[in-house]
Amino acid sequence: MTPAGDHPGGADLRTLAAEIQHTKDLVDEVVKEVQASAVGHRMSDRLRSLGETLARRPDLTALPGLVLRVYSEVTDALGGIKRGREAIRHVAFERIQKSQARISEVTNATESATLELLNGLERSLGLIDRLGGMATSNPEAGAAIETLRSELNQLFGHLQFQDITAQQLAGVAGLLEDIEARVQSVVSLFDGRGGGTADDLGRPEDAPFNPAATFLDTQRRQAAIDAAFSKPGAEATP
Amino acid sequence: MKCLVVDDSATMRRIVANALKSIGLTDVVEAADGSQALLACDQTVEFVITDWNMPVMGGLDFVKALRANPTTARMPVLMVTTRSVQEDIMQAVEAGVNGYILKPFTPQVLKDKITQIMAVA
Repeated sequence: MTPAGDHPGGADLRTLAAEIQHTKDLVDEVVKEVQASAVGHRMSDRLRSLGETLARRPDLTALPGLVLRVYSEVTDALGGIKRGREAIRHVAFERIQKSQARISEVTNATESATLELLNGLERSLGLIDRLGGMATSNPEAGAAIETLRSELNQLFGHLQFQDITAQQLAGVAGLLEDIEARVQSVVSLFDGRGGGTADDLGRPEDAPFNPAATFLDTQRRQAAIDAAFSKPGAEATP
Repeated sequence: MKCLVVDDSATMRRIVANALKSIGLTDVVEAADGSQALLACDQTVEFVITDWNMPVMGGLDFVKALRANPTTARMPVLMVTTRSVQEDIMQAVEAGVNGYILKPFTPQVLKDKITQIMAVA
């Protein structure tokens, strides 16, 4: 066998191989250059993006001023809350309590006046009893005395207004007490102690007064009650 | 007839007592709430007139206690109150109240109701 170099066309082959190798080396260099160029583009993109981001950020030198302004506004808001809380306390603990004290004063004054009237009526009825004993021989005087007795008994009945108004006033006082408790609950929220719920503030159902007590429409309401009691089985047998 | 008048209002007790006197019932004992009334309600009491809204023990609980005791279970009871909503009336009926009068009342209404209740007794 003849080696390639020894082949009559061997020189041509070696030249061709050298040219191919050279071409390959050139291609490698071009590839490297292209690759290097692409990296540069990416770096350039990153730098541009960073610059834009920095341009969008606030001026850090203004930050302390901004913080101070925010602090001042928060302080003002807290001051407003504190003033609001004190105003609510004023309403809850002074005005409401004054109103309750006045209601209590009116109730007591009315009760005292009613008791005095009852005392006077009882004395008057005692006198009428004595007069009745003295007027046995005078039928006309006896009739007048009985009329007077009936009138005084009617006055006794009218004094029931005191019990009814006392219950109405107790209802208003209870309402104020409820409002006071709810306002206190709001104040507690400001203090960060948490507020109660409506259920927490409920009053006992069986209060010693009827806040719905009224003088109005008594005959119609009594008729409805009588009808309810007259239903078969409604009225208990003593 | 001995009557027991139960009301937390001193004025109302006197008004009811006077109304009873005006219709000839002069033997009256008084109590300021249901628990006092239970103590006062001995065998000599023949008729009870009670308010509903009272401290310590209200009228409705008082009536229930009366009905639960064999010695007072059949005691005639008249409720005299300002309460008039349907639910209240039904509760009173269920508790065993024999009659029910709204405040303000007249001596005549009181007399009629007492007569009506005692007629059934």
